[in-house]
Amino acid sequence: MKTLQCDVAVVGGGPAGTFAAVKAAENGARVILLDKGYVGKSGCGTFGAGSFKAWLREEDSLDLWYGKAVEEGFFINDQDWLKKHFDTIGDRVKELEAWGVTFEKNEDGTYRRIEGQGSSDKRPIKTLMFHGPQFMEVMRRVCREKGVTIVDRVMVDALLHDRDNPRAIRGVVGFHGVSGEMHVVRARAVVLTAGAQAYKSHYADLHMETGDAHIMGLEAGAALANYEFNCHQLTHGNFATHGMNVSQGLGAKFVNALGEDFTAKYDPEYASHGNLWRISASMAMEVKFGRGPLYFDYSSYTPQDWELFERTLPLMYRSYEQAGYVDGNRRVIQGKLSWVSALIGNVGFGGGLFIDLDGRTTLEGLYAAGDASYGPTSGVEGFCAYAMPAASTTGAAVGEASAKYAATVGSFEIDEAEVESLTRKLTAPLRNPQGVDPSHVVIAVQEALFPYDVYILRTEEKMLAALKRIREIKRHDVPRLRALDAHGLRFALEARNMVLSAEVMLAAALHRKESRGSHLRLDYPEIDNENWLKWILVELRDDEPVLSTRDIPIERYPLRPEHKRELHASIAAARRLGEEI
Amino acid sequence: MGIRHIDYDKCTRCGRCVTYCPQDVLRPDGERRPVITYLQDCQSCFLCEKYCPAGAIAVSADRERRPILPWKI
Repeated sequence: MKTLQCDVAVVGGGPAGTFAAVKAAENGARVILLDKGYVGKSGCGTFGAGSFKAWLREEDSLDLWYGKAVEEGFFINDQDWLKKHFDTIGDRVKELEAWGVTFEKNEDGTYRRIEGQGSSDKRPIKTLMFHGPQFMEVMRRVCREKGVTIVDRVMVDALLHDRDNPRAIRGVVGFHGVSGEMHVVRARAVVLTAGAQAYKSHYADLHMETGDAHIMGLEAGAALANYEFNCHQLTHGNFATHGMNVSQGLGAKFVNALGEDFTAKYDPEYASHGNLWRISASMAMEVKFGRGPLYFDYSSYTPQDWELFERTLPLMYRSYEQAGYVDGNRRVIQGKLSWVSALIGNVGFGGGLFIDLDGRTTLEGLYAAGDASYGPTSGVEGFCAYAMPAASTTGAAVGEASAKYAATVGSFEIDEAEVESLTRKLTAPLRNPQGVDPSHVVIAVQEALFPYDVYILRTEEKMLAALKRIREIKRHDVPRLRALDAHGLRFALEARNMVLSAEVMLAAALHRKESRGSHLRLDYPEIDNENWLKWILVELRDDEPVLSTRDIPIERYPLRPEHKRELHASIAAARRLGEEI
Repeated sequence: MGIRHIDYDKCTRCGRCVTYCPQDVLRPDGERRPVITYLQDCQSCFLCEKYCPAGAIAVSADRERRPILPWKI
């Protein structure tokens, strides 16, 4: 066993974690940063599609950005955090550039920005463009320069309490994914940034996002919030695709089984450029009304279009060519590709650890940022303040706050008996070589969660049935998970975390008896601003999720909705079309 | 499917693919050559292929197992 000591231990090496580590170090803390992968190549930040939606004081209207963030956050945002985000995002962009992150520029030195998903002619939102993995390469170097100790390939999956204070966290327990060596880090403060729960979705590059931070926080006594809200992505049915903005820019469009372009019917302002969950809901409705399956149609592409497509998205092009959709002369062979929605859990926004304005969870000494947090800046999907920009601002703020807190903590003791029991718990699958294959658990969770009438068009009946299945998996399969080596142990624990996240998600979604953004219930089709301007908090008691609500202090926020109920926009649109829903 | 081929004639044994793989699919053998050890965990993210300085790695977009989808396609 390896024992390490520091002031601030950061778990997770994406944008939030590296920002937190750098800021904690700048504030005088000795920092250890741990990641189950290799910092700089781990987490979904590595695969960021180049869009960084930062509000720029010099170019953008604050009213427009703030207004859209709250409107699309469906008033679930913590507007104090949102203000803090807009106050600090400009500093983060300047810092990133000073460190060497490249943002696209025009010849005159101004930022070259494009309009992407969620932008309309009436209300344009322009995004900075960065060069994919280069961002995280820079962040790894900066961590090293600031004196952060990086520990790669160690999966942390449990938290240690202060021996004399059961509501305070003083360290972490993990293991090396190759050697299997246990790692115990004693720390005055712990920052969790180990990402979202993406349920190993069909969508690209998210299989390492397994809610590790959420579940270890929950099991240590912290509260989760917003778990009923989920991000939906859209992708090819056969393999994962990205670059939808580019594809659409060159003329690809969504069509139903009858060949009709359907997105504008449900969302006249944004049509196929709307929020992803909104397109996802439109697709699910078309399927429900018997006009599925759905397609993304490349039939109009000319050889010139494919040439540009190949230059911008070379891997995508090669996949299409390998699949036989386009021939060697860049002519379309099969233009209509099966397109589906994919549940990607709380990546970018949605559920996670509940935090205050300093990033502190409901436990002393435990902080969270980025996707590990409940997405206070973005609410349901306020994408003017989400994903990597929000990870940067929350990560930086939490790094500073945790370092300042750590400086106030004197000598402390951890409980050796707790170290021993957590070590036994974490390594249990290694003692079960004849046990349940983690792949079975992953597939079983997906079979329960991924039908469109469970996560898109929700009803109590379907969610209860899914929850029953998840609880069966939790009771029968999770205790019998197997691992043959340290690599397998990671995947067994990830499968376990997926089951517990799925339980929390369904319990929270059943509890919210209204519709709101991506949380669309056919049995409660109204957005209920009279009764449901609340966060649902989930804690664990005797291994079972216990739910409570906390009122959003909407009266003191600058933006407030009307005190009334209104039909969810997707349902209203379907009813206007004469559908019975 | 996932990672499908490593051309050992081209491989320089630099170890980048092993270090960078987010899913820990590759492990070095006794001669520091990357071996496809845990194919079932490959997510076809293409990082190994992209960062291979010798162009020795080929990845397929098709997944190792059929995805669970929200509706029949």
